[in-house]
Amino acid sequence: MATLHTVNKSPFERNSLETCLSLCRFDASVLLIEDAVVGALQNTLISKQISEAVESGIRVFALNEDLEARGLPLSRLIEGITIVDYAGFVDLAAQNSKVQSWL
Amino acid sequence: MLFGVQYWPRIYCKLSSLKSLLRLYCFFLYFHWRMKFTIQINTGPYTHQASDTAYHFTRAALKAGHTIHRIFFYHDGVNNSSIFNVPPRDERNIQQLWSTLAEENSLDMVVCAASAQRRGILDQKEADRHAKPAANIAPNFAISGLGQLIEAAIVSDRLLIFGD
Repeated sequence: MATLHTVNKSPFERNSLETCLSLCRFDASVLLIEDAVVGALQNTLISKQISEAVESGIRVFALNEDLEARGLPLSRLIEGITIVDYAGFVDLAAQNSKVQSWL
Repeated sequence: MLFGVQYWPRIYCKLSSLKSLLRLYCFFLYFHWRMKFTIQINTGPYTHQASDTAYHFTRAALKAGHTIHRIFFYHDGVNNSSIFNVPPRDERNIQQLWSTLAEENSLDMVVCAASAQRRGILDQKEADRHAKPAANIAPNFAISGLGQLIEAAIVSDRLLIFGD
């Protein structure tokens, strides 16, 4: 049964996203919310690790409202990252059997 | 001749449409299973985004037809329940947003008693007991124990924690 991991801290502030990506299972979903959405951008220190995770089958999502609030252009997101809104967040929480919040 | 042969196809049609309806309903249930969520909030308003995120999540979950079993305010999250918060008038009032949402959807919003006492969140009974001049718990919030969180975690399908 799959797990949804929610990460809410910028990967340049804390290492929770990095730890989450290295520990989560191949069938897991990772949702970037709040400050963590900056990790979805291309050409950063963490982008290579995210791309590798996406390639290995981990589904990575980013919350649209938080991207918009920070003025981050959707065109600069790492390929393979899916944009979801709050309704999508609820669906992800319902579809996965557990929700792990990385605080 | 109410149950004559000529009526059989009609009855069968009715039954089969009922069956297909049931199948459709099962299909619907399978993909849109109604979940029971519990939300835990660990941070206060205006210091961190967590309370806002939890609020928007709760609204979206209710809109999608899910049930919110309980919202538990823990640690600094108890500050969301103070009616003495007076943010500028053109800014969102997080406590009021929560109180209204609970009112409209009859949500069970519980504030951890031990966390609340440390941070000066009191209901009338506690204010009297500690000889404080006023109670400040907002409407639709209730002060209760950690057992409420454990019970909610057992009963709910999902527990989501929002915090710093």
